[in-house]
Amino acid sequence: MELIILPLAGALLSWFGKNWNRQVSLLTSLATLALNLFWLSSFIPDGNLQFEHNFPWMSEGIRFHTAIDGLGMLLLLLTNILIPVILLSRWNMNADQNKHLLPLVLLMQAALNGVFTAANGMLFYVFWELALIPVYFICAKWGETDRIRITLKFFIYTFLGSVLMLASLLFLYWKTPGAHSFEWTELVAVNLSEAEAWWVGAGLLIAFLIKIPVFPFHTWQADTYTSSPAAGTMLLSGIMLKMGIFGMLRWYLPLVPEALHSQMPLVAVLSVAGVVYGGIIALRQHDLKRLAAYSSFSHVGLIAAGICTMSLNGFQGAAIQMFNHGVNIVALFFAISIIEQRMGNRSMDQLRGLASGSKPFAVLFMIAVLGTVAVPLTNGFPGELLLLQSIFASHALLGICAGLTIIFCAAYMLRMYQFSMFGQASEKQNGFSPLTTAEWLGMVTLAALVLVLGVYPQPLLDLTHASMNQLYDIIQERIALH
Amino acid sequence: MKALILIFSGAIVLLFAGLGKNERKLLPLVWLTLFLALAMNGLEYFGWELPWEQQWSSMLQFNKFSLAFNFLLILLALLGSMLFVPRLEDKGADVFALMLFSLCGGMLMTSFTSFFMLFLGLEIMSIPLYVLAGSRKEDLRSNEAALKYYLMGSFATGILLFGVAMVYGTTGSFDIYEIGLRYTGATMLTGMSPMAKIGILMVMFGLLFKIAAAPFHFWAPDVYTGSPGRVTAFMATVVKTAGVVAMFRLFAISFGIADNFWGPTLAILAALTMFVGNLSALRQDSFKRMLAYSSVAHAGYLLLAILVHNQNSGKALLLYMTGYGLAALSAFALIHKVSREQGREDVSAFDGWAKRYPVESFALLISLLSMTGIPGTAGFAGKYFLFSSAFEGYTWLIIFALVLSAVSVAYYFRVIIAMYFRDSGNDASSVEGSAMSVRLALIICTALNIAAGIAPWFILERI
Repeated sequence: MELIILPLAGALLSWFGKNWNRQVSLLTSLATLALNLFWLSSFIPDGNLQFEHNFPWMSEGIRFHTAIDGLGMLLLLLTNILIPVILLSRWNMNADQNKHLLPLVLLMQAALNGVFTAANGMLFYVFWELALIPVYFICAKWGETDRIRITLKFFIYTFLGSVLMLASLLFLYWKTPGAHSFEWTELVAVNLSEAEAWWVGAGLLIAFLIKIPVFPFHTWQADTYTSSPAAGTMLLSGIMLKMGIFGMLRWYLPLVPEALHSQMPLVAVLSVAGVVYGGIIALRQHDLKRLAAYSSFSHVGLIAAGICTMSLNGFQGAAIQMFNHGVNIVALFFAISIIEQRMGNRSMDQLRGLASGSKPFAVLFMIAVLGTVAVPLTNGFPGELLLLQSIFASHALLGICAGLTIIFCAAYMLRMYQFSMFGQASEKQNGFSPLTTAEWLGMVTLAALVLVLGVYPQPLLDLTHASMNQLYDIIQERIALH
Repeated sequence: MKALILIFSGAIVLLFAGLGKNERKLLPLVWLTLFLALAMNGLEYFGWELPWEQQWSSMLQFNKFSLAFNFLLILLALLGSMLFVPRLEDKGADVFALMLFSLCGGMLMTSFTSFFMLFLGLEIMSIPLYVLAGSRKEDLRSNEAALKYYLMGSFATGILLFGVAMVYGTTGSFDIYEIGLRYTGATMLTGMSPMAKIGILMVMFGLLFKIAAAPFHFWAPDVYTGSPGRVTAFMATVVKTAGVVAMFRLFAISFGIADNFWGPTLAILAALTMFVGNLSALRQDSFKRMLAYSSVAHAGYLLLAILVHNQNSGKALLLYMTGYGLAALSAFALIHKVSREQGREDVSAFDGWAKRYPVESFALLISLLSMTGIPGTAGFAGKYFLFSSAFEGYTWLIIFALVLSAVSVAYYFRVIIAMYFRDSGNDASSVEGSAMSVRLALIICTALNIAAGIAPWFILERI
């Protein structure tokens, strides 16, 4: 709860701050991170809920109930590490524009922290919606041409998903015994008939699949990512889509176990189709941002497919890959925004030989690319390995298709790197100015995470292991009962 | 009752005080009247006047329910009178006096126990409105609005009266509790007679007309667009609230027993209203007309409360009307401002507003988010409690309503987009600050809206 209030207060301060609002924003986000790390130090990853706050809100059943378990802690860490980086990416930009953008980023942080800690269905829904407003404003206000139409489509799309989710939650709410309740534990305990579970599950699933996005709900994604300002794209791809995956793990699987055997295979096939489809489209992109967007689409498809296997490895892989994908994709978009700021465009056809401009940047960018490709010893590797393994174990053919992602990803990522960074630099490109301190800090943080978590991913696994185990047990137990 | 008397005498004093005076000078008197009435109503509510359930010769009944809604009506009227500052050349106090009379009618409609008082309230509310709709005499559209509203309104009243006569014919009583008892007996013994059924349907149609529910909504867009701003705001908030509450009272108390007869009809009409309202609003360029259709859509949501007609849905109704009323008031007030400034009411008139009018834009932003039903606003809380109360019985309808409220994003957000993301051609020099009272009222509306969104139990527990 403190993790929600702190950024909220910071956002207010920063909104009314005149000249020092970027300092205030950054300090707030760092303070939030520090608090989060402090909690991490006393956090016991045994699957129990910790740091609980629980009091009635709108009614007895709609409680302000926040608590943190391993999965929540992982995503809180992701959010609170990435937000300072995103703020750093705006450090050198026009102060006039930052004036209102930075507070919105902090609002977003508050809402995201709320989503990942909510233990009450209504609270989850409220934060889920609240997270949408700031990011919509960021993307629609500071984006590129045609942003208005694109972001409105994005908003309606996700809002439609949300209201379907609300309908499903309401249905479950009315099934809870006694004076009805939205508490997670109560919702999980509801027994549904198969038909009911199918509809309730479909409502929840559509909300999450739109957010992730999984094929065929992805049509908003590439346009939105491309037309948004870098900060918006980072928020969307780095953290916000994790809301969808988190939602699947926390608010879909344990709530409607009766529907899983009929819905999960379908979603698995769709996700893998997205993996392949996204990879193929990414191969043909010339716009760096669009390429990264499709690459992200392809990668999250793999995560979704891993969840659909309903195996422990799949869950575990999904959990740590959520973190790593967040770090990698933000690093990629950060690098792309650095290029765009200096060169004024981000088309592969026009960029050449940037590496000669700034060697350190080339190295950092390379690390981000390698992390995305999931080369061993980078952070992308362990998660992807677990995911692919779980998909193989459930269905060999699907596994083979999903495995294509490695080849595709290597091809498009390296092609992107090669075209933009190597080759004969033109006059203009020689003017690639060295990185500023803020950019250094941001990129180095991300690159360090890529390498450290690649060499030693154990902390991530330890953090989530117990929660994922518990989730797995709940589902198995309920399916067996059924 | 005291508040009612206060408002009525205030209106009469206003009529005399206003002979030949400028409207602007009388505004404080209106505020004073309404503020005192609000305070009086609050005192009555919180038990200054015991006992609670005051009956007035079995005609009116002031209990928690009606006092809470009366409080809302007076509050909306007060904020409305603050939000619309008359132009300098506006003469005469008749406009304010008529509004106060109309408010009196609305307050009767929340507290009637007899069909007599329902009819009287309805007419006391409507007749001043027919005049008010045409109060911009030189404007053709205003005249059209008045005539249209008058013709359609009297037709609907006729239907309502016919229905009342049939209900009387089958029960022999005008008392709503008595009718409820008779119908309970009748249903248990023999089933409802066809005459009673037709009567109920006719009463329903007559009232549906007043709250602009489809397919009786055709007058609404024209009348809303043609009438002067403050009259439109009054119609969309006070009149709509009074109409829905009257319908709720009547259908909960008198016809509640027969809801398996009128329930399906009303459910289909509610679905139709939401559908027509939301879809037509999508295609409007004029913001005022868009809001008129959106008000039709909201009438559809409100019918859910009547469908369920229990304690919970009554509470939800109060919350929903608070949220919608506050939001609609500020929205109509800002349309008024923009049309005065630029002479048009298109969505594009709001281009680049956020730069010029940060406070006003924020108020409109919150209003629109509230009407869309984004969490953190009263609109969401109201929608949630309303939908939740109807969810068990009418699951299909709620899912339909939820999907349509996702559709409504498309038109509400057009205004937000215009305000915040588009640039206006004009330079900043044309900024014309709002009057103090407007600013204050906007801030109150916005603050109350957010407060009710975060802590809705303060309102829910009032009934």
